[in-house]
Amino acid sequence: MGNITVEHLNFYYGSKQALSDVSIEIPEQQITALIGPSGCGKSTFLRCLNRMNDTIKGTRIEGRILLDGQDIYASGANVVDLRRRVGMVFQRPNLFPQSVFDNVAFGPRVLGMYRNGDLADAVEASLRGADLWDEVKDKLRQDALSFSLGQQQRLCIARVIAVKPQVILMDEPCSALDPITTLKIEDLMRELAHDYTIVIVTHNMQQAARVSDITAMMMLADAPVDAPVDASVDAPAGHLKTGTIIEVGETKRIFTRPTDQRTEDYVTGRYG
Amino acid sequence: MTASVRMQFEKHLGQLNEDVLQLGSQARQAVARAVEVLIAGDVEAARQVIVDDEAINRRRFEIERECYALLVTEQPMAGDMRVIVAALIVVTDLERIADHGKKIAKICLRMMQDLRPIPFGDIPRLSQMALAMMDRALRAYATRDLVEADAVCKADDQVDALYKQTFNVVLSRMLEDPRMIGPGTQLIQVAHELERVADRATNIGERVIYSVTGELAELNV
Repeated sequence: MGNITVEHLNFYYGSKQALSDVSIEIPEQQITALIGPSGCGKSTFLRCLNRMNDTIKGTRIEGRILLDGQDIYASGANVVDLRRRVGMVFQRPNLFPQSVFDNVAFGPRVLGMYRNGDLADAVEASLRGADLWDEVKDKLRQDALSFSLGQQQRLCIARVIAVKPQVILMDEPCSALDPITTLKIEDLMRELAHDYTIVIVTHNMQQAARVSDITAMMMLADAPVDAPVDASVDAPAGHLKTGTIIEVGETKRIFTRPTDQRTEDYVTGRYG
Repeated sequence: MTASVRMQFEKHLGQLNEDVLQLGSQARQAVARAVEVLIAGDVEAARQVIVDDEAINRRRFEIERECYALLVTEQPMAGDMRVIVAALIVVTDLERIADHGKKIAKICLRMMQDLRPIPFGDIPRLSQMALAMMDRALRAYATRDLVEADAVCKADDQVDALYKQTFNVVLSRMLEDPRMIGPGTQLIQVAHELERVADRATNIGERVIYSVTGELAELNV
């Protein structure tokens, strides 16, 4: 469970097209890394996968995103349930100014998932799942924000897995962390991949190479000529560039012998 | 303004390639001189080939260290990674090629103890063919030329054929005349070293293909 199929996805911020014709199979219980230069639409794409962009006014999509065969943008789709099934971890930890316990228990409480005794067990299981239990088991009532950044980030992961998701989206989850803490999160990601589908956006090529199974290279490219272009956009057609996936494949291959010259240029640092 | 980090890396890669090619010409020289001194029976020159091998061994390690430094400092990906890894493997082949030259020089010293004239037969031709393959391999390496790299690998069949022929000719001489068994055995050894030089030239060809395309294939079949 947690298989994602993206078919010909176009995404618009108002009249500006940000993604064009993105298609990818994101296999369950594997780690898929999205790499590419800044501004190419990686985060935008990631946020399409749990409809986080819905919260931004004027956005719209074309194409389909299927989670285990169900179109997540179908009319009548339950967005709250979608965001439970597809959790997200951000660049910087975004905990509530509450205790460790209350942060992890937040989702299950809102969703009414457990009775009280079971809730405590679920919180422990989530903290164990995020490899944090031993560090915080005696400090469950302590303010979550008093912990180190690395611990806070793992607490965010615990909070996500507390609601039993199928997919975890991670938007540069280690960019604020030092190398040792980063390795801890990477270990955790490999552990989590046994149970969850993970999609990670990273600017760290070595990280993508180390932890992911599949790598997708995104880049701003000329919009395909038959792509629907909004007439209100000022830019001349030839200069219109939108984000798309230019190459996707097994991570080992992408970093040792990419087939697209643009991927080669990017991973060897020749881009731009 | 100082050069960008990327430009520095390009410079180091360029330097690495030059160093590999220079080692290549030293190794080629070792084999060519070894065969020359063997045929000329020049004991002093043979000793010099053996002494000179030390410098080649040292140079190989220097280049290896250069590669390791680039791997850890640049953490190269894709084509950059392939160029450096290919260089690491090619310098090993080049060092071994020089060793084949050294072995021929040592055989020369042994054969000089036998004062009878030695019929070298096809040894000079075998040497020319092996050296021509090396030249091609080094040219392919210098220009990342896939056609040239492939041609090196194809030429190996001719060297193998001539090696077998040399082997059979020397063997029949030894059968005809038992006094030929001593020098004949040495000649077969020389032919074998040259045949190995050609094999290693194909290895270099394979690494050129890898560095350009990422394809790993045994072409010396």
